[in-house]
Amino acid sequence: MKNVITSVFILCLSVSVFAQAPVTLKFNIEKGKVNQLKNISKQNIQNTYNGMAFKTDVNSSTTTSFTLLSQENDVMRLEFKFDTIQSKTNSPMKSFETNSAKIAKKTEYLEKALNRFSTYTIIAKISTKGKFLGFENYKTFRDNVLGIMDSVPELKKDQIQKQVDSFLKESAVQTLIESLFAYMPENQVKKADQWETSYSIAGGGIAGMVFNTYTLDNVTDNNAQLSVKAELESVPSDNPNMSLDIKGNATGTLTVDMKTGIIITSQDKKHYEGNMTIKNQGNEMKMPMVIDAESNIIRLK
Amino acid sequence: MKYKIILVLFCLLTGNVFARKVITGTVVENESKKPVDAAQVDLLQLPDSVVAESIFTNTEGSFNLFKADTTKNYCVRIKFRFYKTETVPVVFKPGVRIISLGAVEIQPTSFNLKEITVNGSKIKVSELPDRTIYGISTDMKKTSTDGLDVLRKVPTVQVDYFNENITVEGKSNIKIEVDGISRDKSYLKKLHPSQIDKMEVITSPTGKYDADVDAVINIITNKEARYGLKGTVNAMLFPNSWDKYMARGGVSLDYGLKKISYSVSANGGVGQFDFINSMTRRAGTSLLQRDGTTNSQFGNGNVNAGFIYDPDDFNNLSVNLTYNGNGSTSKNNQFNSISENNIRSLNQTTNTSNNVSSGLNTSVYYKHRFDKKTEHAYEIETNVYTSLKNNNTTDFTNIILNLDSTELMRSPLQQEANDITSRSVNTRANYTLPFDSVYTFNTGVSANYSYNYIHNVSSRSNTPNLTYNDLRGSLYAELGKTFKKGNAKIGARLEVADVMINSSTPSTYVSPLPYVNGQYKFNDGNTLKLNYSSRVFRPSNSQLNPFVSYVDSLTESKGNPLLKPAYRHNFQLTNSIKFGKNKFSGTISPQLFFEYRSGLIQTITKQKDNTNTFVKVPENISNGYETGLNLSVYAQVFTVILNSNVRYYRSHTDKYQDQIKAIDRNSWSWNSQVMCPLPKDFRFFAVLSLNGPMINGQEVSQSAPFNLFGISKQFKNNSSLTFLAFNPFASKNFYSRSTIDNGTLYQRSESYMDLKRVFMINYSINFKVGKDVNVQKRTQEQNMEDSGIKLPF
Repeated sequence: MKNVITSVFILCLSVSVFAQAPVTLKFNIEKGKVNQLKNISKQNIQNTYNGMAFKTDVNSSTTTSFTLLSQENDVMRLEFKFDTIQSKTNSPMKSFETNSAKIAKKTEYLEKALNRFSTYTIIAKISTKGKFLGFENYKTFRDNVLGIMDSVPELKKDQIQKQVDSFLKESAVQTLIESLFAYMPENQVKKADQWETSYSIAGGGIAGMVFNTYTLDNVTDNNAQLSVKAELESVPSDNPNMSLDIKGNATGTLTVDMKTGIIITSQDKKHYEGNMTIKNQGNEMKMPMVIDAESNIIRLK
Repeated sequence: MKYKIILVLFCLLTGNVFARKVITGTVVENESKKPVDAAQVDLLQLPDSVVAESIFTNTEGSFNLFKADTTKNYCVRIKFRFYKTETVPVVFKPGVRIISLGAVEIQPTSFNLKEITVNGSKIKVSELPDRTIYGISTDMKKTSTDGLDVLRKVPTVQVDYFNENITVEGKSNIKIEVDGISRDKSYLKKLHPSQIDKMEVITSPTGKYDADVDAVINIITNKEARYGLKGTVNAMLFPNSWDKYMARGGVSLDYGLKKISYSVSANGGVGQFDFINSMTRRAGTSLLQRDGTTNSQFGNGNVNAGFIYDPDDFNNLSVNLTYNGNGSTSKNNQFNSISENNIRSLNQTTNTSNNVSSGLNTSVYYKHRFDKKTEHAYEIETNVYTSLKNNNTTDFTNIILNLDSTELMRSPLQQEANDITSRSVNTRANYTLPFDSVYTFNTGVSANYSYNYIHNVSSRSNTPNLTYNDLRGSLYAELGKTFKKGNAKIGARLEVADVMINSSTPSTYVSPLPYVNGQYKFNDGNTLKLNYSSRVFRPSNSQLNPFVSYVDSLTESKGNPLLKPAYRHNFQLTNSIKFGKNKFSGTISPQLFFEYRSGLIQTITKQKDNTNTFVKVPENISNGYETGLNLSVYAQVFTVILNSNVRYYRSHTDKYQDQIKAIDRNSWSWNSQVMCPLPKDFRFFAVLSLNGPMINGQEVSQSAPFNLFGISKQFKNNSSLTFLAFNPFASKNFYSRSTIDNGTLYQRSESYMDLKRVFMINYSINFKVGKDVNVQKRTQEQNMEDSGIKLPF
């Protein structure tokens, strides 16, 4: 009797496994059609400096449009436009807001650069499996944004250049794009299957690596529900003035349109801890840091 | 069986999970450390070198490789055109997921045309309406011994290797500032090169500066580099022979803390050289031929001490004390052959002059800023100078010779002496108000009082003394506006001077001095500047001193207490164009200029009554102008730095009595400097200076070409050894000639250094030790504000 039950159990198990047909998750974007995603995030950053803790809240929202220009085999040429990059930062030192869609005044040089960042388009090559392959016209895009430097007074040029570079450098622009695509599996998957993706992130002078493990939870009505567990680790920096040594985890869920491969909605929560090290005159000052963040992506078009 | 089911379930439910590793790094150029874009990075699986993954670096030179399997061995291969292939082993460590290879340096192949390895001292140039700002690179700081040596490498600035005089585009009345505070040359010698961030060369000084300043050099230091203990030691020798030499040495110490830094320095030198001079003078039927030698011995010393106190970001206080002392002895021996109406006579003059001068200068400077972010501030500076010992004594004798050069008669030993007392107080206050980021308003006042007393003694006759008081007040105001493509500044300085000489009725001089500076930027690499300024030149004590010197029996020299200030009105139109990139780049600045001069002070030589004796006296001569084209080029060609200035101009002087004929003359000058790094930390440099004839009132003067070749070796301990050869091809070193020819007088004078080979050896070492424990909170906050708060995830 015991052997019969065991055999039936294994049979049921096998049936249930083979009853789920594998699905192909890949990008299949309609040519010429404008797609738009909005990414809203809230970060709470706690630094400890000289024994005192101070908190910074950063609320940001990025609206990105992309259009498929052409596709050759598995490589898509997508044109991106960062319609709006909005950010509100509250810290003990100061509070400030930026909005790339708001027309900057004559002497608001950083804001003028953000305006241009939101005006010009950049073309990237991405595989149908969501792998970022490179920019086609990054230098032109960069030159267009940096056109504002002609109007910047000499005495402020260095400072403005440094601030613009923090969001304009190639790795920072890549970060804005890659995270919207890097969730596709290499092969067909079925329910409960897991796969991994990795990509680099950069911005504000800091670089890191994200290691994602996705699970296909369910497939309903041509939508795939995925869950993700991510680990983040910062990359050792060559910056002579500052470095970040941080690690953390994130969990989240995504709903993906199986027809196009594009995210419909996504939510995640992150927690990171580590140290920020400031270097000056051969001395080092370590500041412990704790970051809690939540983000949501919704598809607008 | 139960366990087999669990094992099956485990295998079905869990996928294959391998430990993921990422290999990351950046590719940079070996010399410049600049990131390399589009370098090919291959992940090679060993031992077969099968390519597991191949990517290209981005514009930041960075790469990430994701396909490494921890069970295998790998290396990373980097390839880039005209560079040597670099291979880096990959070492996996347990528990470490990101393997960072850091900055991988690639070296160029033998002659790399595409991306040149630059080991020069490239300067970043920025243009403002009234000044040019030169950013000092790290390489320049490393290859310089002190602040004066850094200044030597700045375009348009010339620093003489021999006597360390500073000129800007040939002008010598230069004001030196460090962070806006008046300093002198000795202060620059104690500046550690690492402290220097930028240098501003102001060739069109605004009303903030005294009207007699030709140009201003303002050195901007990096306040963060002030921390710690720094110092320089310098020794220089011209080891030509026991009786022809020069030696200079100096030491400085600077100790900086968070809010205050202290400094002290001492410099000194001694030397002895011989000069050969000759003169031919023809006036009427009289002909003079003079040949002579001068032996000059000199010594000088300087001590400088002070502190800079920055209690916070809004206040700055600086106090400095400087002692300068100089002593020299000159021995002249001149033979004169005079022919008058075909009658020849010979005489000889010997004299020994001893000169001692010393003085103490105290300066106090205070600046208050109202706002950290803008230039809204006021500053006050006071300088007090007092001479300590300042006198000149000349003992001389005249000898009448027979035609066979034997002595016929000798006059008793005579003496002339001048004892000088100088005191001056100078105070200035400036206020700057920028408003709405477009307009800026500056205003300021200054007051200057100088007292000079020269007690003259002559064994020949009673001589008048000179008492010279100068009380001067100035006021200036200017308004600046920033446009979309440029900026402009318009202002005026008003000087009122009360001058009293020898208890005479004071003379009041009112000098309105307007100025305009404008700049139009076509783009980041092309600017056009228009400048107008007017300058005043006041007579010096020696030019006013009515004392008559009879040392030269055939030429009396005296001052002129009736001298008035002279004026210059200068117009400049300058176009600065940046060209090229990478292996060939630089700045070219053509300039059109026009300068009108009125009442210039020049020394006039004229015959005294109907005798064979002449008189040299300074006078306010006629008016004139100078106009022409100036071309400055600063270029980097591969690793060679070229700094060159060519000036072609036409000078006009109106007729002045019978002494100066109306004259128009074309002339030119060319100054250039070349620097070239060599292997093994050697550096070669050369200086060439050529001048056409120059009109100085009555005289037309010309000097021989000056050239200098040097080689320097930089050692690891921040020391350098330099060998310089001066005029190695010249038959007469430092030769100069001046000619007067006005129809009634023809006079030609020549002199040169009696030394065939002039070479110099210089050894310098600078050090920086110690760390400041208290890192500036402002810097940390600034770093966080700029980079750290807003994170990318």
